[in-house]
Amino acid sequence: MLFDKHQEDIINRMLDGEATPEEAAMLGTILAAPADRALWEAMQDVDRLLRTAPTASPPPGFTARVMAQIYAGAPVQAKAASTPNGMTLAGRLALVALAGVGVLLLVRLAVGQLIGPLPSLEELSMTVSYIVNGFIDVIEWLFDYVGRYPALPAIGLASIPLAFAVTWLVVYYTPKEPFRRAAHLLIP
Amino acid sequence: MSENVIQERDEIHARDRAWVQCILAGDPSVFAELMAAYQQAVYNLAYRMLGERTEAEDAAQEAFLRAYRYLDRYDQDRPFKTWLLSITSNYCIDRLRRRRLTWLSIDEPLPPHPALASDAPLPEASAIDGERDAAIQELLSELSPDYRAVVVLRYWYDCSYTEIAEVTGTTESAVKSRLFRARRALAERIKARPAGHLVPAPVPVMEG
Repeated sequence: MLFDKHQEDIINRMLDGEATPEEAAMLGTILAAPADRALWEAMQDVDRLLRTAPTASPPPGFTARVMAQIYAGAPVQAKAASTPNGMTLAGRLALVALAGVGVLLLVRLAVGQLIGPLPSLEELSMTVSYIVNGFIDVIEWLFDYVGRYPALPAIGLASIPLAFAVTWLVVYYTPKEPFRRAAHLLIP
Repeated sequence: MSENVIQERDEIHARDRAWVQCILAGDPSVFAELMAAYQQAVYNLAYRMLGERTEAEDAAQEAFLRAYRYLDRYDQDRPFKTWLLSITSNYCIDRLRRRRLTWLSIDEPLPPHPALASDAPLPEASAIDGERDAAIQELLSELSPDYRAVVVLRYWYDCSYTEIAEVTGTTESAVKSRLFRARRALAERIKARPAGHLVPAPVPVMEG
């Protein structure tokens, strides 16, 4: 009941009517087991059913309804002229940059109000060295902890595929449309 | 592919490109020509994907409106139909995924069966064809949205693997694999049914 990729391709081509005589001859070998032959017959039934399926037609007045919406809306945008909301891409980027500068200025003002003038280079380097030393302390503590609990690295490693699976599920089941719309606002 | 088929495709491509250029030049009325040429293809894809006529009409309408809105992004060197089907397919897949996340409240009435969901007539007038159509939709609903799109594009549009890959934004190898798995899943569903059920009788073609 398990077919390899090559066998799957042959079965697909047989159903599509595109198999060579050599491939058709190979089918007997591929479908040697009775269960495989039964599956093949059911696949042919599905194929016949789908090939005779009718094509559905839209209800009367469909085109008129869509065209009415088109006439009621904005005209189609000329190439590279503007984004769906009417502002050019350059305009949008400039707006984002301007907003960024504004936020930075506000942060600078707020920090200035709270802690006075900015620190000197010497003070900055001392702060950086405190942070680095703190980081090294944490690493040392982790090594010490792992030494006491040997199963910890294995649990850590096992959690990686779990994290991937959870992330994949979240991404798969998240509706993509709002993100696409948001992206279209910035990149036409 | 025969020379006639290639020539016909080239002519359709040239025609569609001319229409698109007219619309981009500021004449929206030409979009009605594009709609007349592709409304059945778009609607049928939406119906086969969503399995419900009212929803299919909404989806087809949305696909055409998006095509119009973003017509400037259409690469005129490629077939318009592929681009349009790609918009429709993506929209329907998103809609199906959203539908799976919708929780029904116990106070809310259950949605009607697809066959009863619309007053519009079925595609074929006869009850036998209506029954076969319902059986097909029931089978298709067993497949995940990605697999369903591949099956519909292969059987209703006679798309090549390359074209299906373009429409669905995947590789040719993935298309082959999805098509095989979908065919196998549908065959297993049919095998589980009582003998003769869901298998169509040959229908004589009547031409006026």
